[in-house]
Amino acid sequence: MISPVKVWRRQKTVRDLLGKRGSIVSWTTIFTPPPQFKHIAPYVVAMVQLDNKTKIMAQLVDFSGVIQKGQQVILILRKLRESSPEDVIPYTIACKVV
Amino acid sequence: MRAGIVGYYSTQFGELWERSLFDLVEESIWGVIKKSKIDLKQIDAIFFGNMLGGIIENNLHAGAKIAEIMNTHIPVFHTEAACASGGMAFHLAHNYIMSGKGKTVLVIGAEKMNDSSPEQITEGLMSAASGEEQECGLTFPGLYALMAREYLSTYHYTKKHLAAISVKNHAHALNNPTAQFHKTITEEMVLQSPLVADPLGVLDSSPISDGASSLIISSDPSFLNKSKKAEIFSSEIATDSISLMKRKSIIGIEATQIAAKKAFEKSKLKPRDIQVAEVHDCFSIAELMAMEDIGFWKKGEAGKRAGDYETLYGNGGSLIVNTSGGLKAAGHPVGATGIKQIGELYLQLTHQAKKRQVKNARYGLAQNVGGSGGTAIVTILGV
Repeated sequence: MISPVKVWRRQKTVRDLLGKRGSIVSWTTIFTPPPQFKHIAPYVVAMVQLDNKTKIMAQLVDFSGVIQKGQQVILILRKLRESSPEDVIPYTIACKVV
Repeated sequence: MRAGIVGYYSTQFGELWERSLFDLVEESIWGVIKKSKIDLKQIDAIFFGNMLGGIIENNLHAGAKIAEIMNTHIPVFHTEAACASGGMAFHLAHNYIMSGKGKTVLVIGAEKMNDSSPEQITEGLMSAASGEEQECGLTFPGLYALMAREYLSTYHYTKKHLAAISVKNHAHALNNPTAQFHKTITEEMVLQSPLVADPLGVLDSSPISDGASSLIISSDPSFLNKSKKAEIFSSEIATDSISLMKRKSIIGIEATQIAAKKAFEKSKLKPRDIQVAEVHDCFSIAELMAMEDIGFWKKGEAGKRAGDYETLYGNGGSLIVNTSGGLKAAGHPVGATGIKQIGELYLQLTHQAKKRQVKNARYGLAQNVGGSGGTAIVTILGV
């Protein structure tokens, strides 16, 4: 079970990242995931440098083309982690190509 | 005061279905005590490196378990620094002796990984990464894959340059009886192996392993004079941000650079003085970065020089790297790795490495990394 308190605490910082833009520094496709991500594997995780120069890690979603370094992305919210029906839904920061 | 290693024992590394974590610990304890011809009463303290026992086996308070195995009341300290848990145990054991707190210390590193599913192990290992990295579904192969892609792109290398590391380390493991794999592989096999985290494939990656390794360190002249010994010149540790995204660079590990610089300064040696090294090749890219971070090779050179197999045993090079087979082919029971690396140097420097013995080995270096580079320990031994 994912602690609802943890989800509540985390959303305070997640909120500030939404809509921010940046560019892809490096990326990988994960073929051997942790259990909570098994249902969506394989999936792409990118290291993104935001316009304010800080870097974040986020899954690249809604994209099936060839990824390139420097690709421009925008941060959005997605339900990526599998949780049980009683859990608070853990939304996570993801990115999509602009 | 000087301290030296006077004994080493390692269990077989591999898929050891009939043995539990503490079966392996017990074998390595009695193994090293017998090999060192030491009396149990002469051991002043024990340091134990283990990462996952508490997470996947519900086994904590390992000190008391070890006390039970040995029927003793001496202090036992448990260290955890992800894949550098063993190196940290060694570092603290060395400090314990140098502070004068004890003269002779047993250091154990062990891990039992095969009882869990690959997903459980992947998740357990990810406890050594930041919350943000866990939250987006990253894994350790994923973190090193991000580094590998950037390294290859920066210096214009290809996956073939990474593959050479795995080929070399598998060749070395053929002559290490306790290694997990005794199988020759080719660059083509590495390139064709299924992807774990693009661009890294299964054969770029160290395996899931069970195993335990132990060392005896002593400052007691009665041991140092009569035993085969390797002197500890330096053991230095450095840390960095747990998150890869918060590091200055992702094509090198700064904690290794800092620990190596300090270790060379303290030992008054230079990279060119070293003949044997055990570096932390958890993934093929990690050995390339280690060779540059330690200062053996210049920044950007590692792809080419690894591709030329300069550090392969029997290739005439002045430095042979990962004679044990490295993490890739000897296996990577996480907590045991840092101890096995130093144990391999001990065997080399005391001329007990048999078929893989590097001639005229006088100085050896071990580099043990925790996580994606949040902890690094560099140890230099000599005879």
